[in-house]
Amino acid sequence: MDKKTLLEVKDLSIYFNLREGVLKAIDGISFNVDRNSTVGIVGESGSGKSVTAQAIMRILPETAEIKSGEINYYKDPENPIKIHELPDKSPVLSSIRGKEISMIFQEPMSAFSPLHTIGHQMIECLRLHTPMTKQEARERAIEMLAKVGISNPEKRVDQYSFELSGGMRQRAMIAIALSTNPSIVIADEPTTSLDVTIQAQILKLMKDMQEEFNMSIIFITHNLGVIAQMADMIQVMYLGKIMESGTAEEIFYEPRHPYTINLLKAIPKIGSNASGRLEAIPGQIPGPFDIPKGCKFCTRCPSAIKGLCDVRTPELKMFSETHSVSCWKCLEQEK
Amino acid sequence: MEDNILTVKNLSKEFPIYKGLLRKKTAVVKAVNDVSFEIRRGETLGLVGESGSGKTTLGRLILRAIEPTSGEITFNFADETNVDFLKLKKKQLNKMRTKVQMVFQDPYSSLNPRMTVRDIIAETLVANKTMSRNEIDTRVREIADLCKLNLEHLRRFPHAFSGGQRQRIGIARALAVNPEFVVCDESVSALDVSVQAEIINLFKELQVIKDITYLFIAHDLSIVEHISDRIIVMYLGQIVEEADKKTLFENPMHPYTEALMSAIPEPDPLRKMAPIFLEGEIPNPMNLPTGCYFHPRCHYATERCKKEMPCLRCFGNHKVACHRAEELHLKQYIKY
Amino acid sequence: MKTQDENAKLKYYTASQWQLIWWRFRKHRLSIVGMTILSIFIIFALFPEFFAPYSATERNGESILCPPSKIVFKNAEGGFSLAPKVYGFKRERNKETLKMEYVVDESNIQPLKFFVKGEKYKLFGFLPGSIHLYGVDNGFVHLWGTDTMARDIFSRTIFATRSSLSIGILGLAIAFIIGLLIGGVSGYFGGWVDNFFQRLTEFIRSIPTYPLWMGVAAAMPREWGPKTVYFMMTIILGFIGWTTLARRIRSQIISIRDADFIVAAKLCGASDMRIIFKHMIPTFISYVIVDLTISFPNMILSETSLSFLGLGLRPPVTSWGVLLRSAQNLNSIVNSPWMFIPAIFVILAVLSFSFVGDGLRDAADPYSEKS
Repeated sequence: MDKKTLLEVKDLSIYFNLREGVLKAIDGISFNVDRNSTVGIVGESGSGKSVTAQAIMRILPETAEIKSGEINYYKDPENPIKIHELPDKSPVLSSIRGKEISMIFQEPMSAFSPLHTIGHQMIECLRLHTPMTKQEARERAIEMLAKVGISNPEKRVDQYSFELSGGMRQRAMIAIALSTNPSIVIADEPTTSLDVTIQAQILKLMKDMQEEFNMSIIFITHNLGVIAQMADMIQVMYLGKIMESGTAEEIFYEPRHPYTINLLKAIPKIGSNASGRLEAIPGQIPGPFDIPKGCKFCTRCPSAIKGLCDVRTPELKMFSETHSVSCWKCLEQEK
Repeated sequence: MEDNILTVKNLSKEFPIYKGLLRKKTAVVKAVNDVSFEIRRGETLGLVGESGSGKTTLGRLILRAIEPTSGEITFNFADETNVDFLKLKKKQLNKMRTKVQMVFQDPYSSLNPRMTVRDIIAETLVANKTMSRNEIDTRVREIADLCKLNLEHLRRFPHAFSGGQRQRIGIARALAVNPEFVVCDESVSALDVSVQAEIINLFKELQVIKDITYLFIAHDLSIVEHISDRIIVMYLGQIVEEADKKTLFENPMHPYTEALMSAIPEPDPLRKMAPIFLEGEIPNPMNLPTGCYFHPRCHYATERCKKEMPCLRCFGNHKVACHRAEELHLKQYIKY
Repeated sequence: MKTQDENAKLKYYTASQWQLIWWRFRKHRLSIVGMTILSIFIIFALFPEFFAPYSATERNGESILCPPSKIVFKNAEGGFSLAPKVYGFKRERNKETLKMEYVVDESNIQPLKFFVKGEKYKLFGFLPGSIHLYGVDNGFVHLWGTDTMARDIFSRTIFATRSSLSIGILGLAIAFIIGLLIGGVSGYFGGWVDNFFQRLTEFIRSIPTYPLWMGVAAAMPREWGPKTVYFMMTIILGFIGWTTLARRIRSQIISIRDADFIVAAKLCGASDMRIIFKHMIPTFISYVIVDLTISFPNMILSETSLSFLGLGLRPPVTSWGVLLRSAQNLNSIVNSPWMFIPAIFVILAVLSFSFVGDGLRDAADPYSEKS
């Protein structure tokens, strides 16, 4: 395996066994996360981006099963840890989850326990993963809180989550996630619930921490602006499949997949002087049990080829070493 | 016909905080603090601000969904001018509801789950008791068609619909009575990106067809920029800047506006943001700073700013509440 | 043409909340069983004259405390036959204990007939009829024996069903109306109105129930006729039972008072009354119905207990409690245990209401995602 790769997701499929039927939340996705880089996963509701994060952390609900595929963690470039195969209670999994791969959630209010102080939760996390004493853990907790820019960390460490503002809570969550020096941080919509000025601060903090701790970030969001600012590589997901994958520049400057192209046209851009219409994507996102056959986007795609797009899943086309698209139209264009 | 459809003067809303066994009033939260502005007929006024700015409260005050503590609200409708909105009694107020409406933020909690779509849309018409059942049915069908809802959809209940469709039902409800003024309270914030575009387009279309004036409240500046003609920026219950769109973005005059603009994440990987970071957090509304509310976080604050509250001053069509408005040359982030 | 799938979806989309609730309710077997039993009871309560072979007061001569009639499925030759036959009883002195006993009289055998013409009656007080579900041509058949006044227990139980169920329903209806008014006004207007009603509710709730009943029941003058007592009982039960409902309704209203769709209704110009009745109440009525169903057994048990203690209904009005009252002596336990059979009805009724309430509670939120 290429020495650069830290995490490899290969052909991952995750199905939910619900009463109403089988929900194919993710249907065969593949992407890599390099060391010291930020991979952005962008998608709308139902795209499966959160499920991907949960799968990597192995915190999927009971009704979910990893139907097929691999999640390989290349802590040691020669010897990957097969996360998908680890049993639920395995000590290897416990030593990775929360320690080497940690997660930042969208709603800091509900991610923290209201019954315990921030410090308590940080100390608990530290002592679970490292042989620190209580005192050492407390000192490290205060250190981390200071690092993420929380003022008066000695006082804050004994406060409850509801005593902090939204921005501070998110910083505290980042502090917990980073306290064990992880190699990968998965951030699931970390700034969606924050004000735009606070968002800017948190994004900068994440970038600074990434440099300092030498870690990779998997950044999940629906906000194209944020992803453009944060990600090196971007995966565009729709209804459980990756439609297009490439560097940030490739995705924003040379989008190939009709979904990506239309998504970019649908966002209002300041200064574009377009007082006219935004290009909306016709139709609506199909419900979880109405996933179309063939290419998932075929029901709304303006370039759909009848008889092909609605029957067979498109093959992957590589436009460059990093840029790949899953689309029949793009494959055709070559010919 | 008067040019301004709405004139707001010195509008304030205070929420008292009660503490102790005897529930004594110990403090007040000034959610909206002495706000004055006008909206011209047919325009879209954007209202932006972050948490604690009071923009949502302001939207609800204007429609009297919440009662203001003090101030004046005057509407100039097509057939009735100079309506002192706050002095209206219950019955008259209910009659006026056909002229002003609101579209809510959350498509999941703004529709009564136990009413059919047809009944939801028709509610204002039914409550008003001026139209016959047939007339109401026709009107509902008309507006549903404009909002791109099928006739079949009218029989269904809200649980059958997606977020975008529900929002269209909400818009249909607001527009069924042909209002002259509509407050859009973060009406697209809870929607997916592709659906947002659709709903924004719908708003613009309907504005042309039905000749509506909008007050568009949002926190996403790109959306506000796209849809508004003029924009008001609020901070901690006060207006800090007011200008038309182009002027505001090309030439912001208030430090807060400058910081806000700089923080917008641009969907362009080759133009990384260089945000102006504001010190500290938004202050606790129960414990407001002295002088200018923004001074603790402002890079340009002076002694005067700590003591004296600036008032909204006019520079042509551009209004700013800053002592140093003339001397500061703030960064220009956008160029049209 | 719509596919079956699409039709099913359409049904789901256009279903009112009551239809959705029913579909979910159907899935709970116990609840359906409970509902069936309750329906049977209700039918008994509506047409007791038909189901009971005799009236509640008719006496079979001097055969007091007669054991249940023996029913055999034999024909004249002694082989099996589907037609049931009833043996009569005759009184004899037991040679050993020297007590008067009932002994099966094999000579007195009669076929048990169904849909027989028997005593005339008036359904609902004015519809004349004379068909009974079962009976014998000569003599009496006592499925469950007789009581101390030689009255057929089975018949009395059937008639008692009407009193017990109707007291429960009426009491509950009164409690519901009071609870709705007080809870509704309290929740909607808030402020000092809310404060006042909540303190009132707490005051009433803090009074211990049994002593309260006993006090009120004992205060009812002896001269009052049974019908008056009956109505007073329903009113008492209603007046005491409204507190839980009022609390429940108030908390429901408070929780949706600030919901967007209620604000939207206000902005549509709906009057306060319209908002409460058209917008708020349908939102939580299903929960309230669950509460009502679960409170029902309480009403029945309250009445039964009070009558059992002699403080409730008085003869000639029969209720399950009244019937059980006559059973509460040593003599009954030892010699005529069949006097306790009406207790089975009480148990079944309470259980059925509980099952139905359970099923309703699960189904009552038709828009939630759980099964």
